[in-house]
Amino acid sequence: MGLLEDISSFLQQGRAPIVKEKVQEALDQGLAPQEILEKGLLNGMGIIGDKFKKNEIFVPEVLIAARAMNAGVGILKPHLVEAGVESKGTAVIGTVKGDLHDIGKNLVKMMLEGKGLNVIDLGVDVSSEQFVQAAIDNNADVICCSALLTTTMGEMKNVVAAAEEKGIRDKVKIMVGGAPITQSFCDSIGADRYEPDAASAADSALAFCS
Amino acid sequence: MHNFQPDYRHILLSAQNIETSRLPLYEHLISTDIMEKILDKQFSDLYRGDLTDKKSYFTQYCRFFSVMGYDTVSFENCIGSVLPGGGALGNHADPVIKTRQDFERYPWDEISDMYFSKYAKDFEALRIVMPDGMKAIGGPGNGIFECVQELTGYTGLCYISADDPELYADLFKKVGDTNLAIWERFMKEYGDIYCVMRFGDDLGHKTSTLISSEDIKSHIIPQYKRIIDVVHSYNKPFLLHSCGCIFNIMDDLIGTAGINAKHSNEDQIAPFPLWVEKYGEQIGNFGGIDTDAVCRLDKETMTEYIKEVIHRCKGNGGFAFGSGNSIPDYVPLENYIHMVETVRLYRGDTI
Repeated sequence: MGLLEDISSFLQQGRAPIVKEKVQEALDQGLAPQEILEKGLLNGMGIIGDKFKKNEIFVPEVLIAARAMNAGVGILKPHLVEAGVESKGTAVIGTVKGDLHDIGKNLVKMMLEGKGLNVIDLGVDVSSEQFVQAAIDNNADVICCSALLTTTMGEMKNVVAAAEEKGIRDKVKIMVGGAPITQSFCDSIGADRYEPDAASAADSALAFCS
Repeated sequence: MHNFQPDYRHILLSAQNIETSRLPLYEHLISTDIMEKILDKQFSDLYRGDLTDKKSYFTQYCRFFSVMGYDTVSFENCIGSVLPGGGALGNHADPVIKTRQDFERYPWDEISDMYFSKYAKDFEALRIVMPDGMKAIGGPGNGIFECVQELTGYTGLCYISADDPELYADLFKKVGDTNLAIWERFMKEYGDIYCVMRFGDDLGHKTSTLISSEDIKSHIIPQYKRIIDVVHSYNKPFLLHSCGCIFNIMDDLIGTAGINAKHSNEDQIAPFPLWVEKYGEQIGNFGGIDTDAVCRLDKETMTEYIKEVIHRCKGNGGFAFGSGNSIPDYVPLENYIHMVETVRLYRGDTI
């Protein structure tokens, strides 16, 4: 098996220390940082995402794989910067105001990173103004809003309204997700996309960035 | 809305999977804000007082359930709230257990005493003021999975599963031991107040279980069984409240752990009648209308929704009706009242 396949495979197994070693080894062998990223790390995370979408693996495997990816990216990042490799897009993510639940949000964040996106994580209890300001400050392509509670869903409509008010609605796509969210709710508030799971959300976000 | 005579035997039958002549109402939790508004009386501050105050608190608490047409009072005190350094699940606290060393020095043996030291007066007060014909549903809240996460956090637990599988297994066993000790003492000292024993342990999310079904079967269900065996030794049924998509472990919850009834349903995962149709031959089913639907539907639509659910559930064993989860303070008061009145009119109450 080649080095890049090794990186992908060990990432899928969540073996962060070995992924770090293998990424360093690939760099030492003169492989291009972007190739290591694309064919090693993102390839592995993509496979994990597909398996999760098909319910073949569970959330812990995703989290552990994402940790391994971050370990590899940590080694790779200075080389990516040096080589002028840019992220595939920028997403701002957070759990909406009044809501402190973050397991789903964190999962989407990891999947987004697994697609090679730059992710600005605003955490939990994020107001519509904070979402929009972060999108402006980071020139984001996508805003991803998460909610678990029925009542906090309403804040997502405010995010759409705030983006319109600040004049960035045509520049940024707004995605919504979380336990109580449905396609009809997404449509009703004028958001751009609802996805039922984290892997699908990352696919859609990437599509919006390209 | 009174002249209702509660009779806990209705819900006891539902939990034993026998369809009752009077459909019982049930909620996992109801916000005290909602209770105070309906009773037009503030009483929540009394909870923090002495035994006399607590008796006054529980008098109003029980009166609410009786006034609204419930046969039982839902009441629990959560084990997670007494875990030293806990809060990694509910309060975003830094996990207190990350390593074997953290695990070894954790004061496991003190937790049971802490629980009863903090909550014994609640149960004593509840016993004293329990109205005729009523009993409680609940007990020590939080199941094994939630208690472990209070100590490790969810993400931390996932990392431990990969980094130290032995510690991962030991965490469930140790929490199982600790919770079992609490349940043994609880059943002995306060079991008489309750007709149906329950804890909540959210095992699922929207599309699957939060950890693998194999891990749940290996590490969690054996600990459930130990507790449920104790409950059964007192001839009481056990109701599991667990949110999310947990179909992949239901057979084990029923066949191995021995749950008698299950609560919690979300329409986006499976409407309540589907649970009843799927498991009604084996266990009692509690739930009915998605909490989101209670929040959002207009009265006419909600009435039709409720009638349809009840119609589909009849003839499939015991069930009790209410929201798919709880009535938190954000549920519009008039919607909650409409839900209750619809069920009460259906069953022929004079309201």
